[in-house]
Amino acid sequence: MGLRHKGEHLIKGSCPPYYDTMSEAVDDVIAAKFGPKGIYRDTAVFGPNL
Amino acid sequence: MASDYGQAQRQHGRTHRGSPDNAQGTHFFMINDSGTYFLRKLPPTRDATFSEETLLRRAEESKVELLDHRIDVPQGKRDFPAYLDSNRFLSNLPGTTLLFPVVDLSHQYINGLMYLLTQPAGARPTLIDDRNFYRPAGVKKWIRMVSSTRTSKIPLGSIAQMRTQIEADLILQNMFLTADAMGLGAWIHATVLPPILLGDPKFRKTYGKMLDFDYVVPKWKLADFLRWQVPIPKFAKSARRIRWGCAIRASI
Repeated sequence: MGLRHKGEHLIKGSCPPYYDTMSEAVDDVIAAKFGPKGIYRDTAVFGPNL
Repeated sequence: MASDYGQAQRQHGRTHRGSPDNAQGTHFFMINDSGTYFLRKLPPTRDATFSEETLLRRAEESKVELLDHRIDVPQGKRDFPAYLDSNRFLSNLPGTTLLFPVVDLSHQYINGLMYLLTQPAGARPTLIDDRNFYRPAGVKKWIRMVSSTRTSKIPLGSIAQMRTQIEADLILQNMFLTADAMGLGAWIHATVLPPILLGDPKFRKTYGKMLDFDYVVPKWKLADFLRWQVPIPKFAKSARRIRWGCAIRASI
């Protein structure tokens, strides 16, 4: 399930048909956590030494 | 302890609700006399001052107008199954504001799998598929590799939620308390039946497309005869999973 409005995905499930494969959906979830814009991008706070 | 506190303060989106590993699976719709809106999640601001002006600007920025009117079922149909019992006299009426949550569990489903699969060796569970007769969920090769180690079993169905489903309830409670503190008067209640409001194809003939969500239904398979809660094609159109969503209504 998902919601589109004027061509924009407002709610986009992490699965097909919003991604061609589940592998791409998993990559996106990882990016949302650890990517350049991810919530854990601040290594000073979320680094491995914690 | 001080370090933990600092960490929590800087984690985006964690100040107003509990969210397992920052899943942030809850989306909100706002319905009032001026229209029907999706409330977009805004990126955090680091330099904005906490002021009335900032709050109003941010609130306006988050609104995505879906309809220029209050969404509701067609006239004469504010009854079961669209509304449950007395809520048809109370919910989504002129002069009220309705905040309706929709929770997307798909992100956390993947995240939950990663959580478990990154456990130390020997602590990783065996994933089984509760929609496929509790058979190994694509992990037979791994089971053979660790056959000498006894592992616990966990069904995929229990990973899909992992507390993400209660995010909405926590937020609604916060809204409820905030609205009451503002003197508005609000309460949590069952409003329009979610499949009807979201536009489940089974209800569109009677109630219209409503919010017009995308619905993708997996192709029916012979084994679905034995699967829990999968109606056979003959009854697919009449099978209705009744579960009312909770919304908060505020009015002066």
